[in-house]
Amino acid sequence: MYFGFLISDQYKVSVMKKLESQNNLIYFDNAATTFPKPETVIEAVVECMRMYGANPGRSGHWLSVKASDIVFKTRLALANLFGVSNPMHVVFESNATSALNLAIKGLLSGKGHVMTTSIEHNSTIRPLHRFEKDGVIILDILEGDSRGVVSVSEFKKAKKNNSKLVVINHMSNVTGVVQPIREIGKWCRENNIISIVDCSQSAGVIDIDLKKDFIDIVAFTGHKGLYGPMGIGGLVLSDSFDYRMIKPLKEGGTGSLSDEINHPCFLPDIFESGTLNVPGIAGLLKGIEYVTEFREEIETKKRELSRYFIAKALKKVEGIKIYSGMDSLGVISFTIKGLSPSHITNILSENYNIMSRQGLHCSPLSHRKIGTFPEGTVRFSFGVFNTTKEIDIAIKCLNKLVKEKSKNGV
Amino acid sequence: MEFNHSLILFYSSNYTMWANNVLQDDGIICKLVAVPREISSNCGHCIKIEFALKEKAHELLTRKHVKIDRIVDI
Repeated sequence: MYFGFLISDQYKVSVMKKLESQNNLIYFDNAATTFPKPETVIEAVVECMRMYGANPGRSGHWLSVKASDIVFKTRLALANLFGVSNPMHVVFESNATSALNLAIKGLLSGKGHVMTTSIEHNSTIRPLHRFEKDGVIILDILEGDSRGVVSVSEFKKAKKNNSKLVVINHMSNVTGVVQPIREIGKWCRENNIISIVDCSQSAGVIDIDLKKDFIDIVAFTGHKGLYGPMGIGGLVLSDSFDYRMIKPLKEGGTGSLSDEINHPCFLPDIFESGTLNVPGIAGLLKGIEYVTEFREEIETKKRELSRYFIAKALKKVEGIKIYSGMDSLGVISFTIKGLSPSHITNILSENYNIMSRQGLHCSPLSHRKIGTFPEGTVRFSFGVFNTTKEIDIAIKCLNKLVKEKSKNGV
Repeated sequence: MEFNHSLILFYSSNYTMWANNVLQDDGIICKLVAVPREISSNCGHCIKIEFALKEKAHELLTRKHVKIDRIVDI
């Protein structure tokens, strides 16, 4: 059991302390976006906007150089985080959705067979479904086991002669279940199939190494497990991946080859037209430094909080059904018999200042898989600043809700 | 003609920053300066280095796979 963490004490932001003391706010929606952010992240964003908010790579003055330097350092930090040696293989986008759109739409220019899983987020399934509807690809959504975990043997069975791409959500944003990306990546590599991993939920929580995991491309977002600001994400391409297979979706100003009307064909400029979100990138760098420093503590804490909640809720909350395993790293979906998920989250928010998320979590496939479609579930998602004390309070509130339901017949 | 310095130009400022990092890590003193328009159409900056260090820098950047556009002696 966890009673106070060094990371909480050291990094918890003052605004959160204020909110807590004023309103007893409990934030259990970290899978949507982590909150609060470490103080160092906030300071970095503000410092960038105050002190060196120039355009990187567009001018020769020192403010622009300073902005370029932060962009490069963040590229380098991301390359290190994902086990890539060439920092130019890090491409900034605005979030994981735009990054996945670039990878998927940029790769699928010709006909072919694509495999994905039943726990995908709409950021993957919608672009893939568009290609399927347009007759460009044949799409196989592999069911996996009861939790949606897909094995290599399933891929082997589904493979066709023209299989060209596998897209996998590393960690479900609904149940927290994790796919065996190393085994799948290895099989893809052996079969010359490109692999894309959506690590929106797992980056900063689980180690991902493109070389060791045989993954070609990861799509990341900065504002979840990496504790950066919203509006920054991107792709990391493995050192061996030929980026020319991806067609850029946008073309325009890059600050390079400015005398030419041909778009640059080298990384990362080929995919990075337009001004970058430098304050977001500056904040992300501090977020990466933070999760790198506390990597093991973060994983342990998220696992312990999940276990603590599941064990206690099963014992104390009548009619609760939990769809996440004891191995979940902070993402817990549940329903309570006789209470709609939206009713639960509304009451938790309005009456108890507990922030959680109801419904389908932008992943209808996952809810079909676990049998909670169309109503969905309540999701509690824990971050590094949550505590067992907060879980105790939430469980008491859920209990109260159940008792009121019995009394009032809600 | 005697040269005092060299300008190392890159395809974009992303590579310039990478090169700057690599050179500084190796203790090679260099300076980031605006790209002279008469030399290149890139909008950003390039690296100015003492002429005597040109070969050493070139060898190091090549070894580290930092792609150089060209080197201009000034």
